[in-house]
Amino acid sequence: MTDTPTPFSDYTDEVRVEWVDFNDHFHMGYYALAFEHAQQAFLAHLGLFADGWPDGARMATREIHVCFLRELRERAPLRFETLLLDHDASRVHCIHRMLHAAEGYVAATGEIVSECVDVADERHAIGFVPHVDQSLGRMRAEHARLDMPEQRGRAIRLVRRG
Amino acid sequence: MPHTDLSKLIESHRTLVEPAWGDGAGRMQTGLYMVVFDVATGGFFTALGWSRAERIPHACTVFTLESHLCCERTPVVGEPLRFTTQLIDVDAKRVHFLHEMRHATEGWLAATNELVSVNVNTQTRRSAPFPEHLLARFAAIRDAHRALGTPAQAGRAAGLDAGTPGHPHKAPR
Repeated sequence: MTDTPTPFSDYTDEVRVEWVDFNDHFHMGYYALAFEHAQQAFLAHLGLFADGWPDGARMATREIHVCFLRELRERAPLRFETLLLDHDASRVHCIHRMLHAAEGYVAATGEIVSECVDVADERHAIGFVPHVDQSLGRMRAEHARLDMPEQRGRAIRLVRRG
Repeated sequence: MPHTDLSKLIESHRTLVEPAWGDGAGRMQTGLYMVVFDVATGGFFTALGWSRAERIPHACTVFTLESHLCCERTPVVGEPLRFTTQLIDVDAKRVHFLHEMRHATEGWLAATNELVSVNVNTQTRRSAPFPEHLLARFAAIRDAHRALGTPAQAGRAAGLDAGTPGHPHKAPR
């Protein structure tokens, strides 16, 4: 064992039949759903949905930024690498790489901010319990040492080349 | 029918929140927003004069390069939605635009989706310029839309600043 940090990499999936378009390609509209699943898996890993789950709460996605890098076909095996970029009392900000699990290339990146909110009123944030907050703090310090996808923190604009 | 009224945003789609899009409590699932916004993208390109039917003789299609979704307020199953689209920028091969999804009768903003699409030749699978006759038209729409102001979500980088969608919210309890 080494203490070299690695991204959270436990989550795998595939390009599901219900996510493809008429050309058998992964429909761009469903990438956000796949990235949300990866974010949920990461938060579950931190204990958020076990004994760290506040009463009357749900996780709400506040924003998602997807960069589409290479196409994927139906049933392509996927794995995800997740980096925690930032967090506060109720929010987490992650970036995920979506990789073709067999060929190894990065097919897309997804940057997500999600917030723990009151099920009855999404404008009400609910704070993380202390041990989840501490896990987030440790994870963030570890992940700060890793290489970040260049898409991190990107704002959309047309950059003129040449 | 191409869009001709440059004094307002392009209406790109209307729909109701379908039952299949809801979670257990009837809230529209955020993971499906981009699927519905993609229909608005189709409506937008049709209004620009570059519908699927118009692209086929040119052996062209459009691919999405990036897509940024901001969720402001969650609609529920059965609510009517209206989508309008602002053309923010354009070059020879790419279009940068932003959809707003609002409650169709009450007017409140549910979400925005900012995108960049690229024109692609279906034979080479490589990017290709838009036809010349469309570029002047795209530029005229961009200039007219600029006069309508820029949405706060345009050009935003995801993060935990004061502009995070869904805010202003009440402090955590």
